[in-house]
Amino acid sequence: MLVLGRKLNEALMIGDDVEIIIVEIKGDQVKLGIKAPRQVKIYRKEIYEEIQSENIKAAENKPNINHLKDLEKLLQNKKNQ
Amino acid sequence: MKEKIQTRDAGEVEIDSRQKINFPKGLFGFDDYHNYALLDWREDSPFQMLQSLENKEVAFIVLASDILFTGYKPEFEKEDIKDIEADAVEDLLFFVILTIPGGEPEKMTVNLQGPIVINKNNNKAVQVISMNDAHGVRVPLLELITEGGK
Repeated sequence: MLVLGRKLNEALMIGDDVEIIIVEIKGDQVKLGIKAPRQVKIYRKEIYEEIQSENIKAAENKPNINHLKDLEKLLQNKKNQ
Repeated sequence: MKEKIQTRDAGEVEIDSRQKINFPKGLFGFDDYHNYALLDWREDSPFQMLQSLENKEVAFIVLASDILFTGYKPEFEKEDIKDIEADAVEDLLFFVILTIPGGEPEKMTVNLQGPIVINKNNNKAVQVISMNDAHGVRVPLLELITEGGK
């Protein structure tokens, strides 16, 4: 892992197309500005990991027909509203 | 064309090849599996199963988002769905994945932040991450059904 120090308003280039700027430093929070082409996806890391781990949890479920029956009734009622 | 597949919960099931969905990028956490079948859970049930064709133990309970509420618009870029070659929003179907924590059905949650987008014209799909933070990863299904979602 490359570790670089940056001061307020300084920036990093990642490859030729991605730029990260230190926009604000307030207490323990650093605000980063990111300039990147649209096809480069930028996520807060915890969201990305959350979706991954939620998928894994979801795949572990073995649905019980009775559990779903109650929810189906509720969905049906909602549809009829 | 019909074929037989192995499922996690229902043994051997016959499907029509039109039920097969291809995920060029797989699903988050399951990058190696690209081929799934969309199965009906039971007749009359809005719940469906997304069953992996490459690992029979991998299956997800999913719900077409328009069953839950209208107006669910996950926010993503056109780039995110370029792999499924869709031209128009009318070509897209949104499904959300359900999680049943600890076998307690009342606590069932829906992942609104990571929906599955299917192109109904070619059955290609991708899981996207909605940039709208109001779309939670674990939204209680009961709340959505009883209060009316957004």
